[in-house]
Amino acid sequence: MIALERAGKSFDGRWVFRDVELHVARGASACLVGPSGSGKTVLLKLIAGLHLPDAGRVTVKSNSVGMLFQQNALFNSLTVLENLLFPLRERKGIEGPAAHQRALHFLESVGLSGTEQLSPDALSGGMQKRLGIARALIIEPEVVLYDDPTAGLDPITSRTIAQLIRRLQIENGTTVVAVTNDMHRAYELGDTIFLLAQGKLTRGGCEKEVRESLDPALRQFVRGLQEGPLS
Amino acid sequence: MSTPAIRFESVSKSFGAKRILDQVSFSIQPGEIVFVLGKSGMGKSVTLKQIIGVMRPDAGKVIVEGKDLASLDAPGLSRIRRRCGMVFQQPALLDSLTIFENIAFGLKSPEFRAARAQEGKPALDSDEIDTRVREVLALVKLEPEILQLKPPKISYGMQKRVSLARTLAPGPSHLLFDEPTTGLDPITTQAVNLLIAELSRKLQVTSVVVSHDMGCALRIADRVLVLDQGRILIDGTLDAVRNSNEPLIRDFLAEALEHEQAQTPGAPL
Repeated sequence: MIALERAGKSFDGRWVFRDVELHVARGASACLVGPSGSGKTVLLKLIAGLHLPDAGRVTVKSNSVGMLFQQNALFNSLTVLENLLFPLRERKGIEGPAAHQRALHFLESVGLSGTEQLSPDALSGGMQKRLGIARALIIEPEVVLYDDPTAGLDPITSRTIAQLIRRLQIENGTTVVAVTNDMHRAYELGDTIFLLAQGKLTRGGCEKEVRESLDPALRQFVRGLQEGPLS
Repeated sequence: MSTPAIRFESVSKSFGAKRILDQVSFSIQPGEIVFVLGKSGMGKSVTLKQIIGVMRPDAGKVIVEGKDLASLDAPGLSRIRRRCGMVFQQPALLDSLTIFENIAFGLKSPEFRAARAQEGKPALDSDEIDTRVREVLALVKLEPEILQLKPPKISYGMQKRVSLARTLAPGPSHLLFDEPTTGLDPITTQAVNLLIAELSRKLQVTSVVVSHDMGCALRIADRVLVLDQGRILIDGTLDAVRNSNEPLIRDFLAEALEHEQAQTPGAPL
């Protein structure tokens, strides 16, 4: 569903990453981890088509891509319900009772029933994140990109969000690419984990493979060690 | 026991109908590293804001260095605030200034000069500012070569260190950290933790760290306060936390203990 072949991106003549190979099959989930500033969000935006590659190729076999931004990007001038009706109308042309019914269904699926008439800024951080997820998913995209979906949340709330993303991915059969810095969440979010560091993407594999990996950079990152190739 | 650096006596604070702190009491001794943990929205940042007096309690007393903040006039409150250095979650550096200018910013401010004048000390001259900037830069383990760079030219981890150096420059007695490791990758998280622990010991400052991260607390705290539903769920040593049977504490501990094990050299992950 998603293929990056020798993909590279540069800004002001400086390569953020090069020769990136990433293949995500339909219905699979990949999770990118890596130090701050290593280009994880840039890579996600390349998949979303918000950036163009400066080398190689990026192919996404779907026009239906949803993205959850780190800051949720909700409209505080609209109610919770209107935040969900907006993308339905603008992107899918769905309005009226059908749109209303679908919005209520998605609110229920993220555990936000009863908040329809509130403003997003009246919700807690975790609830806003869940609303952001519902808004990304309501257009029923085939591919969903999550940029650090649990950043700033406490561990209990963040675990709930990661499990919600996973459940919705399985239920809807979507293809997911997620970015996080938290290894616990990475194991929950991705079938396969990749490390983006020092301009290179390394395939870490599944949770067991990552935990047992002998790759020096991956070991250093996962364990938070001060000494190693990433220092 | 000496006068506590910070003391809350039955502090309550509500926002609308929601009671965030409900008769909360605790003491922090000078030089202690205390972590304030809890889920989002449980009053951790509200607690920090009350220590520096930018938010007042609805009831109860906030006492810093033996002084009830409610009894202080504006200059008195300002004196207490200068004794407290706040480290924000984001580095919040000024991108248009060099690293040197960012760190020196507070030392050149009229408030800092007025504070020194109150203590009968002259303002720092440029050589003294230069020396002070280099001192605090060394404390956060950065090289003087970066002083003439602008913040966007250095890594995010380095920007966090510069922001800490800026807070240290005026010489605070108490450091207040607002979620210092939230959103950081594991390597930078560990580096920031080690720095907090080392600075607290070396400078003998009191450190109050508001955080979600029990793993960090287990590595460097002297004591842990857990806030939940407006109350203190636990106020104790690391052993007390490890042995607690409170479900919320066990939940917070579960991931932290696994991570702690992973950090042990040679341990299998």
